[in-house]
Amino acid sequence: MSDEAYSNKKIEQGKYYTGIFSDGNGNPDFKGLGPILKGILYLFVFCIIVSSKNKYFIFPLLAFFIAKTLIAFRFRYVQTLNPKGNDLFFIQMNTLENNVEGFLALFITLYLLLNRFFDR
Amino acid sequence: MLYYMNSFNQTSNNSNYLADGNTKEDLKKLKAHKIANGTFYSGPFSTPRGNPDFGYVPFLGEYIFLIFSLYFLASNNYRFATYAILCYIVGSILNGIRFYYVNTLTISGDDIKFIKDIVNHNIIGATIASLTLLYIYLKNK
Repeated sequence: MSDEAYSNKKIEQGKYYTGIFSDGNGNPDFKGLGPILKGILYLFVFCIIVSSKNKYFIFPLLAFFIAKTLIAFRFRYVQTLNPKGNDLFFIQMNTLENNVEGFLALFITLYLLLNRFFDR
Repeated sequence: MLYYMNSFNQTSNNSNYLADGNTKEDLKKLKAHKIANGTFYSGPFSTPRGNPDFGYVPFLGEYIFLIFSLYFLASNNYRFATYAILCYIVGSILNGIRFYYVNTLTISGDDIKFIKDIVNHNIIGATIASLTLLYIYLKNK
């Protein structure tokens, strides 16, 4: 299918974006700002947890790791209309973001559990 | 690519999308397409359309951490906490808008439901963070 045919399908579905961040194919392009800005809060909280060694965060961090891994796994099976378009790139970017955040949470959990061992 | 184009030509009359319905024939067509692309999931939690379905468990897991973190930030006066929360709100809104414009292969399958859940998830996350920001503002006033 040509780009024009994909654009027509987007218009049919009522999902054709024409605003200021438009990438020309009917999608908004925020240059990855969404995942980066969301990640800032998580990085900030991770830094505080590591510096304060707060053990009450172990359960929420584990829940976060499981949640992010499951979401990333689900994203892997999403099939976009255009097999090589911007939607697929965005989905893959989110898969990576979820994996990175999830595994960071796992490493911090392990650090909290084993920090007595590291302090020796 | 040729297979992909052929599968698009084999669509039903009322829709141009591949295997939109839930009939046996539609599901068989979709399964063949997904196997060819290597995206057919057949493990535990699988749906008839070949996708994993974890329900709302992943979203709840993320909310637990988000609420716990925001409570921790709101109760302790960290210097840059408000900026980090503001970034999260803006990021969630941008992510929500971008996900709204994602077009999935089928118009009524599991993928579009998941994408809609992700849009809602971003909106709820932004709302929780906004309420926390409001609480911090009123507390420090």
